[in-house]
Amino acid sequence: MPVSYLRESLADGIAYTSIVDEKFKTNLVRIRLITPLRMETVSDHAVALGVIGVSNREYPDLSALTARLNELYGANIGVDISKRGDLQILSISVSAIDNRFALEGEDITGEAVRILLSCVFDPNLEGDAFGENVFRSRKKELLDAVEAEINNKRGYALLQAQKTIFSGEPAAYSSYGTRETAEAVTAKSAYAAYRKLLETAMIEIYTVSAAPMPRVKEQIRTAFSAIHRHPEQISCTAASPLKPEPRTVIDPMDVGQSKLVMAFKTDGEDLHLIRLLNAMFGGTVSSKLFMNVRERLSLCYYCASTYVDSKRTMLVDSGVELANYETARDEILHQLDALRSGDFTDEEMDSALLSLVNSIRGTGDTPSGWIGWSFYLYCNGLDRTPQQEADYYRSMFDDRQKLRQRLMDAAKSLKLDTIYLMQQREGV
Amino acid sequence: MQQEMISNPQTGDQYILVHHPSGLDILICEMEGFSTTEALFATKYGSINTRFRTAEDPDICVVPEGIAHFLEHKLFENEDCDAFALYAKTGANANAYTDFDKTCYLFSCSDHYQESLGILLSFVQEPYFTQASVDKEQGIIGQEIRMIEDDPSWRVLFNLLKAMYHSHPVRIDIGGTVESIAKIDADLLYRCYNTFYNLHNMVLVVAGNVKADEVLKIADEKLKPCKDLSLETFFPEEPAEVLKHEVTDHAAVGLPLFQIGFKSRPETGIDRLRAELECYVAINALADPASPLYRSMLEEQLINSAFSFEVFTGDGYFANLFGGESSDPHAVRDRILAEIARCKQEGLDRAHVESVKKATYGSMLREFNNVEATATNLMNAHLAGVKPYDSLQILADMTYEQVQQALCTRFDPERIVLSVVEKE
Repeated sequence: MPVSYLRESLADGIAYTSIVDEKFKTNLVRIRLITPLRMETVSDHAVALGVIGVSNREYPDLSALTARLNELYGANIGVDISKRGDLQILSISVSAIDNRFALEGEDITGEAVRILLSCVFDPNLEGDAFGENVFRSRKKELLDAVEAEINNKRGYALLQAQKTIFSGEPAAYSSYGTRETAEAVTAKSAYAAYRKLLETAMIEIYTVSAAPMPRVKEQIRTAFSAIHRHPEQISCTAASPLKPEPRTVIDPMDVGQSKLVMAFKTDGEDLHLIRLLNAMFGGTVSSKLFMNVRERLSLCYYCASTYVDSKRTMLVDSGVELANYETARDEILHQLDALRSGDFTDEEMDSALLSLVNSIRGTGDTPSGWIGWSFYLYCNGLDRTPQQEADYYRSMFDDRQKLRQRLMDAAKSLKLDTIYLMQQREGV
Repeated sequence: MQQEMISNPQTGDQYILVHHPSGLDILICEMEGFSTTEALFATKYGSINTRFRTAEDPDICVVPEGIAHFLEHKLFENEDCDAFALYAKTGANANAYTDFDKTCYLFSCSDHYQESLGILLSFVQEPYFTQASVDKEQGIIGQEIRMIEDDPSWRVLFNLLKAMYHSHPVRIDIGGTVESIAKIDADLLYRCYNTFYNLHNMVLVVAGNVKADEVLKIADEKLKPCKDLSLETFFPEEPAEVLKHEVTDHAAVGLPLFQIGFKSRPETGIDRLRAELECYVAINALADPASPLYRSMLEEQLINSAFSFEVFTGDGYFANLFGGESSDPHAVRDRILAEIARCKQEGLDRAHVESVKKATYGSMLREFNNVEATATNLMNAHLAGVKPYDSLQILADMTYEQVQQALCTRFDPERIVLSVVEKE
């Protein structure tokens, strides 16, 4: 089935990417605002996104909006806040079933996109502030989310560890701020920050649909042409500086299992090489960390590595008994040493390649997978299909001996920066 | 070999159902345009199946809690190697999970699916347990249990189930406890394996980028024919009443977490699916974000967007659950009770019921958009003894009166439980 992919500029710093893929039964439109993560605005942006995700002038609260979306066969408006390195990324999307499945011939997608654009451009306002009721519930939502960080222990350990790993950098903070920044938000400050965001953020708009949607594109073009733009330049990668000496942080908590996080930083710039290395180190169930820390030594249920390319940092995390913490830490270091000294087989290299290629080739099987792919290309200045990316990885194996040496060098370039331990209560 | 093509004219989807001579039912859904292949090999054996008998057993056999999950971990090890090591040669992303009523082994991949399917069918049919390998796994599973104990949302749910059910094993943690898994040995694992991993008790689903004849060729090569053991599973007598109406626990959490459940009469087969869908529409009309209940609780800051609900059903259990975060879970419970009483009296909003039905149709359709969801739907429906497209038809035929009746009979205030996990 044909897939067409077109990225074009709509205005200064606004790009529109349309992906047409006949196999889908739904249409997805996502508007992504990309801006530097700053403590002064991080929570204003988060609350503003919350407000526009549940209301607009026509449907002033979540109940009114949901009632309308139910009628549109459960079309779904959703928001997401994340960070990439030192950037805050705010997304608002609508997903709706394609018009050919409407039981009464309705234009589901056209109406869903109209509502989405109303949320973005015609929000629920009182004067120059967001409507008080909806604002109040979204501010509480943010404060509750800050409180609830502790509920997910693995995620919380990673969040706490990043405060040390990226100390002094915007990436040290969460994508929505802290209790203090959240408490400072007002209906007026959130709306002012939102207005500015529309003018200054880099904006990536995506549509993924079963057939071309020229009318939707015109709806979007018209809506965005009304903004007076002066976009702020951003950098998708901001390598985190290595500490002069590795730091160890011990954080006691009321939990039954300790969580270990280790960070290694690199000055290497070859993303594909380090992703391959990550797959061999701890990115798959045939990796060194899984096979040794879990399977051979039975120290944990999970021990995995993740490469944060925007910060050129490799994170390793594991849930362990306190009594086994040092053994696990030493084994993780030992496995990295093995990669540095070339103590790995051709099979390990091959399975890392197969695993990467496998996940890349499945990219286009979900609408959001296509958007993730487009965003990856944008962040890395690339222009290729998933198939071409898979071929690129394969071509790295043309000279296997050279690749082996490059992998060893990449492993050597990873330097220990931080060890964080969420320490379980005594007597568990 | 008996084959049927089953189609859904509404969505244009179809799949092939094969009754393989080995005893296994195989469902294959070819999905044009997709690169991914998803394969699920599942047995109707989960954490609740702790009492059973086959035609070869004189008495009902009772086994320790957590054994289905333990078995899932151990099957990945064969005599000479580990299944993950085999998958490493194909690049497939492999995993497994144990639920209340099933254990599922799966992989997804975009290349070499035939090799991966061969691996899947082989390792699940070739158990190899030794006491040494069982002892080794105690450490890994012990850490998995500890990790889950630290998850307050898991704890608030299981505390609810323990308060709701007197003796049905749905009240027991899927992984068992560190103490119960200590009783597991290689002999017990073989006993359970030989009982439940019989192909007559299993299903294979392959969806996405596949060709039916290729799948069947591999099935012919790899499947080892099984004798039907006339397996029966048993559950202890379970009263209609709940054990306790309220339970509170403490952990490191933000706002207090709650689960509120209404215990209801269990069903089987198509009756269960119908009751589940009626309750799903009723619970949405009662409490989705468009409802007056949700709006007022949100405005009064009794709930936040973590508020959710579900219909929780399986063999021998059926409950309607509401969960979320609140500074005052008792007030949330009282508001839900009051709204249920009002809607029983005045009736649910007709227009709202209709729009919830429309939204439900949309969400069912979305699932056919996705290889993984399609495979999972086919598996769940088959294991539940229904057809995957039955739910669309039941929804289309559902009347307002049926939804109202579900509200009146399956949200009984006498059978409510409130479970809370809050800070020390």
